[in-house]
Order: sequence, then structure tokens, then C-alpha cells
Amino acid sequence: MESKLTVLLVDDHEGFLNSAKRHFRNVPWIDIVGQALNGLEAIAKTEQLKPVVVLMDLAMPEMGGLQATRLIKAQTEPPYIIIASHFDDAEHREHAARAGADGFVSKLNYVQEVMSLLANVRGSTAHV
Amino acid sequence: MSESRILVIDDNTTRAERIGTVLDFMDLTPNVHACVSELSLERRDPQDWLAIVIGDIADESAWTSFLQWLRRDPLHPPVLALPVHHYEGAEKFGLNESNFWPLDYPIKQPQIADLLRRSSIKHLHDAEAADMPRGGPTGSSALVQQLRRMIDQVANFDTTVLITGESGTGKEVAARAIYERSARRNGPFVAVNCGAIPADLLESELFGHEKGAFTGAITSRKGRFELAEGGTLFLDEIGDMSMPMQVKLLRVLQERCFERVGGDATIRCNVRVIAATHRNLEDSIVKGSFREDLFYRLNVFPIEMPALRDRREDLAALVDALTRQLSKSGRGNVSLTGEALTMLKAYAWPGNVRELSNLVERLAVLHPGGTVRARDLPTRYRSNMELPVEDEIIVVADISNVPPADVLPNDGLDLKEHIASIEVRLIRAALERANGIVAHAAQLLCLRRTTLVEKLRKYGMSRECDMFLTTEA
Repeated sequence: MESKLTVLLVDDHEGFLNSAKRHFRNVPWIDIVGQALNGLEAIAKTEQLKPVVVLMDLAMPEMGGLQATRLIKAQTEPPYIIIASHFDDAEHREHAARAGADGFVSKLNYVQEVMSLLANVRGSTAHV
Repeated sequence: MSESRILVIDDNTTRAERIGTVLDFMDLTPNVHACVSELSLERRDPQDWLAIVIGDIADESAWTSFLQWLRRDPLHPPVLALPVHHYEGAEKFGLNESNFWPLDYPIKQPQIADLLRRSSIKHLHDAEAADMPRGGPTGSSALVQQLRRMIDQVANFDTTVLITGESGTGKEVAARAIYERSARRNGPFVAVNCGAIPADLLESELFGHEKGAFTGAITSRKGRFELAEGGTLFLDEIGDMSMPMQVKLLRVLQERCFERVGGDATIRCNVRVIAATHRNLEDSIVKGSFREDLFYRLNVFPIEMPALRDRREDLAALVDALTRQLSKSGRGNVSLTGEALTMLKAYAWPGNVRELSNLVERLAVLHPGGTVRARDLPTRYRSNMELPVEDEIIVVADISNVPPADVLPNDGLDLKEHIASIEVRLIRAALERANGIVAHAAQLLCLRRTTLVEKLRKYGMSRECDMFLTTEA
């Protein structure tokens, strides 16, 4: 049996987390292994749960998504990180890329964009 | 614990509700209040909000304390002022004009969307700029000394500079150092990462566009060349630029003028260009992915950034500078043992100073206020050395290099920072002696409890004793 793609969800809105979880529950190859409400929690949870992918909100209290991305990328064998942002323009994408994020999606078109990126990651890790 | 993103303060409750609805509809989280007295500011940080919309003011005295609270953070979020405040608001409230943006009413969706997008960019910029080391490269190795000489040499001429070197070697730090030492230092410094912007967007990012130039161009917009007028434009990852864009850039460098996308008017510019890349451009020329004529235009004064593995003797100074900067910005005090430092010196640093900087910051998050031993380092940093068996001798990196409190070092010091570091050390000592009970620590320091709590917040130490603060309250 093919193993599932493990994903950590990071967002400060419970409502957003819940609707994302509801969506992913119907995707058989995705396994949501945990959630975090800010960047600091995301660092600890990534270390502990070792997900393959982190879906990271850009703007959060305590520690935002970009700083958390930089710091998570400093760990041994870091996960694939996708930044989700309300605002989608060249400058936001540039900041995400500089922080070391592997992907960027607009929150206004979240499901479509995130699913296509996750499918790519699944494709590239399936043979490993 | 959903965090409200946009604060709306308006005593005109109908209007406030309407603005709230617009923001809700945009999928943002409005936090609507008729009066600032409804907010408990002592538990808030201005950075909790992306922007602050202000309308009618209910209570003048609460408003005054709100403004004081806001001004205390020089990087506070932008204030979006409704028409009643457009003309004299900034001055009356003692706020910086550059952070005081007029908002029309009735709300126009494209306007508010653009203002909030800009607020978000400002937030990202401020966070990044606060992290960027000032004053040029750190260290005293021969390579860094040579680098500093080159920066000083070229700073005052308006020549184009090409900075090369591996990723993470600090090309932007060098570019900023050139800018800070140049006659253009009072002009803007604008940075663009050409590799991170999709090729089809790069032209409008650099040169701007007119309204209607392409689908989605709802308003006209200045490009980065215009934003950098009178200052310096840093074009990072220039080696990733497409061939058609290279032609356009070459023209600006030769003729000092350009047109916005979809515009006819030629705009003259006075901008110094500093370009950087981690690629070997001569190889790219041979492969046909970089124009030779542009290369010679850029390569007037080449600077090569040394890799960190070629200047390992700077490692201790770098760690010291990084830990100081973290503690100064209230992001935790961390120190490394001598063993940990030795282990880091043996590592190859493929990601160079950026990798080191991310590692140190990560350690500060995972070991707040603590000492990092060799065994606490992530595995990849200690794979090539044996771990010491005995407990390590603790060398506190961020104190070892601090001069004695009352001796002025030869090269001077930053008095404010120095005094602050003494204060932090004494407060921490008092807290330790008082077993973390803030009220007792305050007595040891002859301070009122509230004053000490303020200081803990100021130095970002409040989280260390959060539990005591809440149990005492």
C-alpha cells in the first residue's frame, strides 16, 4: 500500500483549520498529522511530527509564517513548506521565496492551488 | 484564539459595521470598536493588527493614551484614516505621514484592498529590515578586511557594482553597506529578487505599469526603478533574469530611462544599480543564458563574497553578533558553549552566513535564555566530531565578549545597547534569586512591580516569567 503524504497545518484561525481538515479528510492520500496556531508551535510540531509538508499561514500572532519557515528550514531534512497568503503579488511571493518556502498559494483560491502543489510533492516523493 | 487582523475604531457605529462587513467579505478579520477604551491595551501589541482604520473618536482621553501606546512602536501598522481626518490627522495625532494613509468613504473595494496589500508588504519589509545586519560584514579575517576595503573604495562613486558569491554569503549586507556609505544614503534602498518574481511580472515590477496595461492592472503603479529614484536599486539573482528582460535592463543602464508597461512617456531615472548573483555569469554567457554586453555593463566593479568555510575564524564573532542582535530585538538570549562553537567551526556551511543565522535564531527559540551545548545542535552540525563525554565548560558567548561594565573599549561602544545588556543581566539575576517571582525580584532592584513588568516586556523577557505574572495577578 502506498504511504500517505503527511501534512502539518499551521494557521491562527480555528475556522480555517477546521474547513481545511474537512476538505483533506476526503483525500485518501493525505494524512493531516497535526496543527499549529502560530510559527513557534509550528517549529516544535515539525520537529516532533516530522511531516513531509507544512502548509503555513503567512500572517500569524507570536511568530509569522516567514520567520517560522526560515527557522524550520534550518533543521535537518526540513519539510516542503507552502506559504498561504491573503495577498498574492510579486512582493509577497518574493518574501516567501526568500524565507525558503518551496511553494506559495493564495488563500482566495486555496484548495485548487494547494491540491495541485500537494499532488506534485506526492509525485516526487512516491518513488523514494 | 483567532487573532483579529484589522482594527476598526469608529464612534459612528453604522459606518463601523459597514466597514466590518466589507472586510469580512474580503475574508479578513475585522475587530470593530466604537471606542479605544474597549481595548485592553496592556495585553496588546500594535503588531497584532495589520492596519488600523480610524473614524469618529468617542473619548478624547482614551484616544490620547491609545496614540501614546501606538507611537511607542516606531514600526506600528499603518493608520487608515477616514475622510474626517484626511487633512490634519497625522499632525494632530503626532503620527508619521508615511504611516498615515487616507481611506475614502463610502469604501471603495479596490482602494481598501490595495491599502491592505501595502500594509502587509510594509509589515514584511519592516520585519526583514529589522533582521538585516547593519554596518557591513562581521569579522576580522583577511578576507573580510579585504571585502570592507572594497566596499569603502566603491561606495562614493556612482558605478554599478556586481556582487558575486555563493547563496547566503551576505550579498545584500554588502550592498546595503555600500549604500550606507554612499552619498545616496539619504535616498531609498530598494531590493528586488529577480529570481523570485515570475518572468511575466518582472517587467511591471521593475518599471511599473499604467492602468489597464494588462488584465488585473486596475490602477497604475510605480515600479522599483521609480521607487528607488535618487537612491540605490539592488537587483539580486540577476543571473535568473530572462533574456528579453536583460535587453530592457541594459537599455536603462545605458540610457538611464525607461517606460512603464502600457505607457508611452519616457521616464528618466537617477538610480545606482548594485546587482548580485550566485551564478557564474561567464559560464552563463557561454551557455547563452546571459548577455555578454549586459555582463560588461554590470561588471564595472566586481566584488566576490567569501564563503563562510573560507573564513571560519570569523565564526565566533558572527555568532556573537547574531546572538546580540536577537537579544536586542527581544527574541531571546542564547549562548553557546565552547564545545558547540568548536563543532560549528568544523562544519562546511554550504548555506553560509544565512544558514548560521537561521541556526542561531532557531536555537534561541528552542532554548530561550539558555545555553546550547554541542549535543543540543541538530545532527548535521555535529556529524564530523565526537561529543565530549564530560559536561562541558560553559562559555557564555554573549557575555564573554562583552567588555567590563565600566571600561570603554578602544573602538567605542553603543552606550544604549551596553546599558540595556547590563540591565537585562541584573534583572535576570534578580529573577533567579527570587525564584521567578516578579514582585520579589522588583524589591531586590528597588523597582515597583509594574516598572519591572514593563521592563520585562521591553526586553522580550515577559514570556520567560509569564506563568509567574499570571499566578500573581
